[in-house]
Amino acid sequence: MPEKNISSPASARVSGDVITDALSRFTGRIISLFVHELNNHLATLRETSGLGDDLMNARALSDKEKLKEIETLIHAIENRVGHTSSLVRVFGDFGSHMEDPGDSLDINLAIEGLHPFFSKIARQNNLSLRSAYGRNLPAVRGSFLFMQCLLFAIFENLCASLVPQTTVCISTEKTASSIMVSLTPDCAPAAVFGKAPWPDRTIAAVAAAAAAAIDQPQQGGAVSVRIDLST
Amino acid sequence: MGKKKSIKVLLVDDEVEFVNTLAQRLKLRELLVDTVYDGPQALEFIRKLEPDVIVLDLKMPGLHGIEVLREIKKTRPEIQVIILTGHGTEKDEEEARKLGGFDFLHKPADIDLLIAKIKEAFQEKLERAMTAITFAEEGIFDTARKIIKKEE
Repeated sequence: MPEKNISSPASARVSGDVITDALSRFTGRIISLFVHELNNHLATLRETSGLGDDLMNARALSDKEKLKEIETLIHAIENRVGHTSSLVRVFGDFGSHMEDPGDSLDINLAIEGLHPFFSKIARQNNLSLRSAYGRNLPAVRGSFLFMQCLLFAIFENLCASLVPQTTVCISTEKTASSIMVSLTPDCAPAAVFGKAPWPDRTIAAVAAAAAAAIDQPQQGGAVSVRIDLST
Repeated sequence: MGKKKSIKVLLVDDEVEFVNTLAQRLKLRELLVDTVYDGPQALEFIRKLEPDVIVLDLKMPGLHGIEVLREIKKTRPEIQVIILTGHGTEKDEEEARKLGGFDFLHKPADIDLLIAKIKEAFQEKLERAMTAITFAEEGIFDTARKIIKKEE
């Protein structure tokens, strides 16, 4: 990805517009994915509780049979409410970080906050996810929001260039002078790429704002994001 | 009086727990229900069997619901399709209706509303089939009349 000179006021304004657009788009995507997932949870809860009601009124079943079925449904509802609560919590955290982007961040937390959305995008693209987070990583300087926006954009572009059934491993590690985030597919990229949803120019601008450097030698191949500890 | 025909419904959704529970509820209401979990499976299903109504999700792995609808209307236009989605945009709805989708519902949908829509869709399918038969009959009578006239 070529470096851009953003030193002049005009180009700085252009870069600022690109970043504003990127953040708006990122926020829109998160809200859209959240609403979609929440509606799916609500729909499942509605049908599960409705089925309980149907079974209670079913004349063909004995009370014992009804009780057994209802018990199974109650467990399914409890389980689903747990998933829904986690999703809502993640969305709440996302809102808090928008309100106060902060000036330092735990990279593992930034990725975990995106995980439900990554999972959904992966599933829609017939891909699987795996994660391997480094332990006790030091906080890095930078905005939670820019970093999440950057990782989200890189992940969506990567997914668009992979063949179905690929597993993407998201890993973090500390090197001598930096924190590295790697997105590594376990298969070769697709012969024909889908259209990348995020332009390179946008990703470069967001990376600059997040004080991160990106390394992707080949489209559809592994991507690394480096955040220097000295920054 | 002949036995009332049960409506054959195919549910297409990648939310496995949702679709299986909904299928159970529809079966309890005496509909004949099959389920598949993505677009390619739905297209494979209709190559072999003929559901009256398909209830179709939009955002699924493999093939987007709009593409599945397009393919169904190309190959089996008589099958009625109701979209049931967790997050359909206005653009999706416009596109679905343009392609011949019967209706567009948002999750979570009320079961009574869904069943009412399924019944309406089935009724329309029957009416279209009757219209087609009437046209065919008229064509046959017309041809017969021409033959008789010629022979006279």
